[in-house]
Amino acid sequence: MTAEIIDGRKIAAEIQGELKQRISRLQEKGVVPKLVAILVGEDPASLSYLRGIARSCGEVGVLTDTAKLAANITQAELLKKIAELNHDSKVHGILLLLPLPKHLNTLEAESAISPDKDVDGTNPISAGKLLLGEETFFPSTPYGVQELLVRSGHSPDGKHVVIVGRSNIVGKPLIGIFIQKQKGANATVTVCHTGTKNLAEITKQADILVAAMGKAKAITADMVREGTIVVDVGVNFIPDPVTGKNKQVGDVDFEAVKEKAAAITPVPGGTGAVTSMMLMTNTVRAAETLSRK
Amino acid sequence: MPAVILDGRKISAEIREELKGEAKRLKEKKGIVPGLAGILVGEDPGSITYVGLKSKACEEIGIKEMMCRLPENVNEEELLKNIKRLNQDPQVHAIFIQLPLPKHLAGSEEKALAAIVPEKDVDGFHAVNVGKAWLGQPAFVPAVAIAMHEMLIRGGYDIKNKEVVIVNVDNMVGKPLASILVQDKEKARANVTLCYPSTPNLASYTRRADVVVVSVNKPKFITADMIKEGAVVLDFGGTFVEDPVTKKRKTVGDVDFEAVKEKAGAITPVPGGVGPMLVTMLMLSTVQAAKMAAGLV
Repeated sequence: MTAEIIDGRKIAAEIQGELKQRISRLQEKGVVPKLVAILVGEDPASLSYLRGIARSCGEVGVLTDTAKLAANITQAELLKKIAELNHDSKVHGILLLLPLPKHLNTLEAESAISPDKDVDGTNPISAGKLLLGEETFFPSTPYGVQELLVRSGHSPDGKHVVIVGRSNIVGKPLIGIFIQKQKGANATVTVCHTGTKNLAEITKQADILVAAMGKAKAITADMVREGTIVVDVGVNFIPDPVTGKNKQVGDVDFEAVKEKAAAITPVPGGTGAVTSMMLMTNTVRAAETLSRK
Repeated sequence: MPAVILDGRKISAEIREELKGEAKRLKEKKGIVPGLAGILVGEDPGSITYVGLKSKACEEIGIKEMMCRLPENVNEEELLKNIKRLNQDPQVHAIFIQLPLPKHLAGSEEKALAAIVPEKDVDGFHAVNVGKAWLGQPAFVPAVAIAMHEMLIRGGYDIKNKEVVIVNVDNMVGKPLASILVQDKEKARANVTLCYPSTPNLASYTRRADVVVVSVNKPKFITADMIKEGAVVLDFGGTFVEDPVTKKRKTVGDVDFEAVKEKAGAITPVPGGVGPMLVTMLMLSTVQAAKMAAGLV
């Protein structure tokens, strides 16, 4: 029995529609949500990510700007820029594009972003509030996973969620989100990783299995119980065996696992599509909150 | 085969000896004496007892204790002023507030705790400490979690790859312990499961666990059929009950101790398990804070 394919693009479009309405209401009050991305240097991955963000902002109606800083700036200059943006009442979201050049202190820079504008949830204060169950911005990728599950009718409430991968960007925040005593959460959460010796034994316990390890096709059919909901957060580029060109695959062996899972997210077209909308959601919420003050 | 009893008093004494040595070395090499400041408002007998235990431990280890005793009727403004003073005192490396505050200040507890600067927030209450610890950065972590981790390490239990099931996902025990155990570091790398007491089929999770941690305040919540042979059981429950035989009141944990100890590999008794470790963990965090201030961490 082939799994239901969860359509991330469709869910992203839904969210986009809702955001457009919220932005309309903000515009009536004379507020346009604005996201500023800080780019230090010219790292190609950052530039590519920036292009994606600009596209999402355009689709939804969020203003975007890039604060371009030279690769050789000092930490003091970077912190000054962040402070400037913190105090700019027209800026609602601040995003620090990584990686920063090696001579700069990333943790200190992330800690300098005002929690009210930390739309990617990278300030340790935001990470702490998330774990404590206090109101904060969720990092976009794990936020997207929650939205995708809830909107596709597979809410984690009361379920056993197994997360493979414990990165600071995905795995750990996902734990924090799903253990909360709230709708769309309230799950029993297990976290393991690629180094886990009896990984298959653990993954087979899951009602919902989230793969976030960054290892192409590491989750195989024998690791998945019949009827599991499988969410693939992996983004890996491997050469296509036929064309030789690089193609995007997830952490899940899609073709095999879809014959066992009850529902599965494809890569691309799954979680990735929703991620960018979550950054937009956070920016709109920041604008709504800041415009009420 | 009955379980190894994880004796909190014994482990606590061992750690205090080590801390004594560390404090001595800090003084000799860097001229720094770890300073712990505590705020005590009023004369609640329970609070006075706890503060007394902390004072004794400071003396034993060589930590300078600076108690700030405020009258019962102090107002919020005055309380916050004193916290600010301690924040700015370079001799103070760690600050704690002895709770509970008197009734008229009950609403100020959160504000007072938030007023302690994160660098001296030895109880690890601040979101910034919670976040840093979670992200794997050096930070203060609540004492119960450190105590349990120390008991596992010192008991010789390598948690790498082990299944740890934590029953109750709170901010004092469950989440901070998960924070320590999930890290990709030495003495961590466990596979952690966080459950609520109300998790459906809870026993199916606890029975798989190499380590079961419980903190629900429900006597005999964990029974022998809920654990696997040889599991390590860490109990932070504390309920006051009347002994059916002696009619005297005593504290019991969340584990059906007599039955579980015949199956577990190791178990913390209540009392005498995690409880006695807590004051020592405060001392450990204070010495850690002094080392951080000296640039040694």
